[in-house]
Amino acid sequence: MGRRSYPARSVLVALLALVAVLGVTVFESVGSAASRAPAKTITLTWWDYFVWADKDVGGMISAYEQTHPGVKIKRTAIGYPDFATKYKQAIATRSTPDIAAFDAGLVPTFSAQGAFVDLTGNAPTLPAWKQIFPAFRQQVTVNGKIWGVPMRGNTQALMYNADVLGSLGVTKPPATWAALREVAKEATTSSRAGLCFPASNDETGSFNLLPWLYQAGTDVPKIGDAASVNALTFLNTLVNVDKSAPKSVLQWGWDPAHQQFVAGNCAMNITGPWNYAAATSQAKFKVGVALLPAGPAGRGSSLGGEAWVIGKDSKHVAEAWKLIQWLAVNKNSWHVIAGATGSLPLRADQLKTPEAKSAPASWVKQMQFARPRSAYGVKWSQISSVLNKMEQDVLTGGQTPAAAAAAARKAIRPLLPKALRS
Amino acid sequence: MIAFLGGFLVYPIVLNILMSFQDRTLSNLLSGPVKWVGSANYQASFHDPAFRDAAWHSVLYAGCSVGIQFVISLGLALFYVRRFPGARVMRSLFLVAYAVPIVISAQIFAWLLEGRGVVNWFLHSLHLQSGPAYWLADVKLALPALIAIQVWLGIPFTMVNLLAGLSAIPSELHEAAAVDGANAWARFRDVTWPLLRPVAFAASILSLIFAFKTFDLVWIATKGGPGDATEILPTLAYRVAFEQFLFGKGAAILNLIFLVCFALAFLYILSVRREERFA
Repeated sequence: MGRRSYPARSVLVALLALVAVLGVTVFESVGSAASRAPAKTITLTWWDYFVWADKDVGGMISAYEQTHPGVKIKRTAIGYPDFATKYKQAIATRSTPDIAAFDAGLVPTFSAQGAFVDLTGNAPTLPAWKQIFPAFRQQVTVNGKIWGVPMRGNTQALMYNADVLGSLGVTKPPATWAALREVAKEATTSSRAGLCFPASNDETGSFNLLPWLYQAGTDVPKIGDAASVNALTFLNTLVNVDKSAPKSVLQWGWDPAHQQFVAGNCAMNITGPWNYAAATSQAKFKVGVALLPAGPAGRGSSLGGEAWVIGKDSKHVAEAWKLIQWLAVNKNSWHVIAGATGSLPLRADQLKTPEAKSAPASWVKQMQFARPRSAYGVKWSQISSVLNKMEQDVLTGGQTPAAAAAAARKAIRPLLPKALRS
Repeated sequence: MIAFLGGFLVYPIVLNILMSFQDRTLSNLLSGPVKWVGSANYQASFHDPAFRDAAWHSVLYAGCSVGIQFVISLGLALFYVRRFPGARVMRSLFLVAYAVPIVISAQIFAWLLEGRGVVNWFLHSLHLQSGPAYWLADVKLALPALIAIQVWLGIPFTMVNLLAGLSAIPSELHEAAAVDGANAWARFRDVTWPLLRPVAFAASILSLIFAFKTFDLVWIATKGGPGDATEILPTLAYRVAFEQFLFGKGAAILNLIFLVCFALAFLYILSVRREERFA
């Protein structure tokens, strides 16, 4: 074989690459020029992850555009698993959207990364601000600064197959840990698990671990104490001793666990209100909802939901704020947020609305016991990873509850705000 | 060519190397004041038990999957190099597996390997299993399961390369050896393997590079879990950079991955050059 001649081929490749790059650049600029509307119209970019509510959210946006000529809203719906990643890319490339419905639990972490516009001066001026329940206002407040306006609220509850429980002679859904363990054991067969819940290696997993800790009487800064070991031991009992919860929970996020429940493979499932409509319409059995069973220290759950935030790179902060003011009026948005996106009331003036009355009472009641994750400071993402590891190590049998809790305590301590370190 | 290489290759690599010596978070990722921290990121990585575990998993994952994949691919290639009805069609069908995006393959395998998945059903029907095995949720089974999936994903590439190498061996050599009284094993050992070795080596090096820098399969199937049983260096780097916002430390880990792949690529180029010299 002789020496192959490279020059001609590589020149061609380089030219092709150059053409591709030029083509993309030209295409992009032509595209944006075309969408650049006449000088008077402002376009606001809007991001959310309510991909299942496209029609209704779109309708809400159209209503705003019609009553506010001169403002166009360009909505991008991004699925939840990818939303935070895309937003991080936007922060790095200085292209955060004008308005976004942001996961409230992550607002503190992202605010520390310089993602949002400070709304400390604006938020309290909203007539609705004082109506918002304190836990939700806490969730978006970091060291006295307010970074978002809470718009959607939820928490977990126990969804159960009423037919299966009825056939076992269980007339009332389990109200305590002991009852939960009993019912889960009885309901477990070779083709059905007694209890399912999400325990995946991400934020969903830690969101669902917190309620067990609260119910046991502990909290994130106190992990390592007897109550936390008790909570982990209880979970270990359900998964590895009784085997009434499948090990697959370690892989499951909200959707897979919910789908298993609707398919009849789980007698009980821990989930949020956004799955209620789908469950009642798709399940071939009667669906019931109950409060999460109380642990040794009583009831507890995690506060979920989203807040409207204004991206730091927004060039239309005033317009974005006007949009938030409009959205904060129940008449304009509550029907869509409660109905289509599946929110529970997060404001006093939403409690008596027809939408609130149609949500299962258990979820609304469970909200009283929901705690915000903002309490743990701006390094929550890292703390969340430690909690994931702790739960996964225990449920895989890799570590005893005591050892896992002790290791987690060591890892969490430096991540907590100084005031919380014990 | 220079501009192409410079823009798409050298610039990102240099940027990443620089970043690994700095303290970068989201706010100063692309611009803004940056602190120079020297080798602190590398030291932090080497002292981190998570890094050492991930490095070991990476070596196991890449080594085992390429080794197993090679043996199976060689067997298949030796089978399909013969002429029999339907051989060419069946060979091309293997490429269909290669054409499926890894994201989709990974998700499908995750479902197949669930507690109630098809794989368990199959094993149970054959009475090879008493209870369900949680392939991707069990600390002892997760990495072997991922290695098996990687083997499945890698077979088409290796097989096609080996087939090409086998087809290039003149059949007269086999015939001459047979005439001289060599049996199948002797023919393979003395005729096929020496002539196939360069292609086999090249294909293995490339497969090693692909396997070592795998991210999508592991992330979609287990996200590095359960616990950190399947955490490999690329998933660890992703976590550190994009979940903990420690871009400097993430860059350090990525540079170490780059060094390994670069060394492997260098070996590959050396082997190709050697081949050209002797040809």
